[in-house]
Amino acid sequence: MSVVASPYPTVTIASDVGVAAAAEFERFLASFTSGGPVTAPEPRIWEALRSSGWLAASEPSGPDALHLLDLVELAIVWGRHLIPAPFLSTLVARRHMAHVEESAVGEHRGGYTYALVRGRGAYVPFGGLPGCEFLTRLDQGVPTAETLPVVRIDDFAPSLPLATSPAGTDVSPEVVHETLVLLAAEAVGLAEALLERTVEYANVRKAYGQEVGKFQVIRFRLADVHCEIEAMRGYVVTALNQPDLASRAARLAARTARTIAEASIQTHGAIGFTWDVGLHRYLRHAMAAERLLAQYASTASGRSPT
Amino acid sequence: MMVGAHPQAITASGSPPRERLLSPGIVSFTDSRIQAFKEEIRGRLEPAIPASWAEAKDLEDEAPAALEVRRQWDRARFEVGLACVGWPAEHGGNGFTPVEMVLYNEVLADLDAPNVYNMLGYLLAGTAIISWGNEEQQKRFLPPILEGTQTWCEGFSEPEGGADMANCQTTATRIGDGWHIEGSKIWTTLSPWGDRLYCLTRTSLTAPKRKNLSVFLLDMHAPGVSVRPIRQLTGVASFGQVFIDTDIKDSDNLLLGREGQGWDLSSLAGAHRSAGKPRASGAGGGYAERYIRRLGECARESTASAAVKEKAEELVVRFAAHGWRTKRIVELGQAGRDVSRANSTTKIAFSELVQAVTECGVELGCPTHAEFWRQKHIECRKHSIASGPNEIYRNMIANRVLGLVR
Repeated sequence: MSVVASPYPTVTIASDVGVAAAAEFERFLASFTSGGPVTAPEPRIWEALRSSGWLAASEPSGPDALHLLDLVELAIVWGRHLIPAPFLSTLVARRHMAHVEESAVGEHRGGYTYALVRGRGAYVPFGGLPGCEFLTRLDQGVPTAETLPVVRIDDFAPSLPLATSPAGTDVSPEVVHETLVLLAAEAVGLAEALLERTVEYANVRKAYGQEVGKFQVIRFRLADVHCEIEAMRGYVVTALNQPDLASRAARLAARTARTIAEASIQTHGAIGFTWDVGLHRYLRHAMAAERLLAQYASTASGRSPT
Repeated sequence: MMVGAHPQAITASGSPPRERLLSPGIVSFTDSRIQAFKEEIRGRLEPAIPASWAEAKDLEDEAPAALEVRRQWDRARFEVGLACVGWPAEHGGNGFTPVEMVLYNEVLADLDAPNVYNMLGYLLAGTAIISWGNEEQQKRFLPPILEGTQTWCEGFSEPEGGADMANCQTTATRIGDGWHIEGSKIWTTLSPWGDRLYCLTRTSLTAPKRKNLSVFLLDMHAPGVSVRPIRQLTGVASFGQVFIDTDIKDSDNLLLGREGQGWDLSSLAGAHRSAGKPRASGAGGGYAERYIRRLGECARESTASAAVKEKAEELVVRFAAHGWRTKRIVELGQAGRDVSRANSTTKIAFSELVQAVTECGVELGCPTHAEFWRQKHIECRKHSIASGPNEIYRNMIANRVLGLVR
C-alpha cells in the first residue's frame, strides 16, 4: 500500500468537479428512467448521451479532464439506472483513443466495446450492437475496430448482454485496470438503487398488522446490505489504487451486488418474484458481471476463455 | 493463570525524553513529505519496541505478559515523543492530522508493534478531559496518561444495563459539599489494574432521560471502590466488576463538565469509538495486519482445499479494502463531505472481518500455526461485543442511516 506523490490531491474520493458531474449525470439519466425501466437499447438515449458530451467525459484533455476517481462516480450513477448501453466500455475506450476519429455510423455511433481478454470465446459486452464499434486492439498501438462477427449473444441480462467473439481484444493493462474499476463502481450503484427501493418498500408494506420494516429480521438484513455497500466502496478504491488486486476486488463487488439483489428480492416477498417489479434485472446484471469478471480472472491466470 | 496479577512496574530507560514530533501538517495522502514523515516515526519507534514483545506478540492481547509489554510500550512511546499522537500539541500530544494518524498506524502495522495499553486513557478519558475538563483537571490527569503511569477504565456497562447507557443505575447523590456514589460497573476492561474510572452516574431522579446523567473521574483506589476480576473465555482475567460505594467532595474536582451533561460525554465517547477511530486513532498496534500476513503464509503452506485457500486470498483483498475505506473516511471528512454513512459501518466491518480472518486461519489447518488460530478465534469473539455489541450498531444503521420505520 505504498503512497506516491501525485498532483491529484486525493486517493479515494472524487474531486468537487467529479461530484458535481455525477449529480448532473443522475438528473440526466433519471429523465429517461423515472417513468419506468429502460429494458432494451434505445438509440435516442444514446444520442442524448452523445450530444450532451457524456461519452467524451473520460477524454484526457482540457482543464476539466476527469480523473479515474471522478469516472468512478459516473459509473456508480450509471449502475443505478441499468440502461442497456455500452457506456462504460465507451468511457474507457475513448480515454485511450482520444486521437482517433469516430468512424462508425448507426444507432450507437461513437460507442465502443472490447473484450478484456484474447482468445476464442472472449466475452464482449454489447457486442454486435448497431454502430457500436468492436475494438480488436486497444493497447499501445492505434486501436483497430471491426464489425464483430457475432457467434452468440447471451442476453440473460438485457442491461449487460455478452456477445462471444472469435479472438477477443489485445488490451493494455491500463484498459483492463480501468474497466475493472468501473465495473466494480457500477456494482455499487446497482446495490445502492436496490437498497433504496427495498427500504422504501419495507416502510410501506404491511404484514401481521405492521410495516415489515419494523421487524428486526428485516431491519438487520437491510443494515447488513448497507454495510456491504460500504465494503463495496472499499473494493472500488482498492481496485483503483492496487491494480494487482483489481480483479479480485471487482469480482467481490459483483458478487456482493448479486447477494444484495437476492436479499432485496427476499425482502419484497412474492412481489419480488414477479417479472414486472423488475428486481430480476438487477440480479441478472450482477450475474452477467460476475460471469464477465470470472472469465477475465481465469484467463489472466493462464486458462483460455473457452 | 495469573488471575488478578499486577504487571510489573515499568522501568524508565533513564534517558531524557526526546522532543515530541509535532505535526508537519500533512492533509493529503499524495503529499510529497509522506515518506520522510513515516521514516522519522519509524526511526523513533523501531528501537523503542520492548525486547520482550517478540515473546508476547502471539499471546492473548490481555494476557499478563502481553499487558506488561504494552505498558512498557506506552512509556517507551512517551520517551521517544510519540505518546498520544492525536491529542493537540498544547496538551502534550503531537497534534497529528487524521492523515498523519493513518500514516502513523501504517508504520505501527509495518513494525508489528504492540497495541497501546492505556487505550481508554488516551482515547476516552484524555480526549474528553481535553474537550470538557477544567484547567485543573487537565493539568492533573493528562500528564500521567502521556507518561504511561496511570491506567484508565471505562465505567459504562452495568450488571442490569449492558450497553443501554441511558438506563444507568449507578447513582450520585448530593450530600452536603459533595456526592455519594453508589452502584456497580461490569465488563470493565483492565479494571484489575485500574487507577481511574470514567464513571457514568445518574445524578437526578427527576430530570428527563439523558439529561439526568453525569460523569465523575473516580479514583479506583479510594475507600469504597473495589474490583472483582472476571475470568474471560480465553482464560485470562483482564476485565472485572467494579463495586462503588464512596463519597467525594466538590473540592476533589472530579465532576467532568457540568452536572447533567453525562449523556453527551458518554455518547461523545461512543462517537469516538465508533467513528472509524480504531484504525485511525494512533492507538492500534498491528495485530490485524499480523493476522492477515500470517493468513497469507499459512495459505501457502496449507494442504487445505482450493476453496479455503481462495477464501484466504479474498480476505487479503477485503482487508486491504478496509484500509482504503479508512483513508476514504479521512478524505471525505477533509473535503467537508458527509462521513456518517461510511462511518456507521466501521465497527461492524472491522470486528467481523477480523473474525472471518481467524475463522479462515482455523480452516486452513496449518500445522505450524493451528494453535495460534484456535486461540485467536476464541479471543476475537470480543470484537463484535466490546464497545457495544454489533446488534446495537445494526439498529443504529436501521434507524438513523436507512430511516426504516420504528
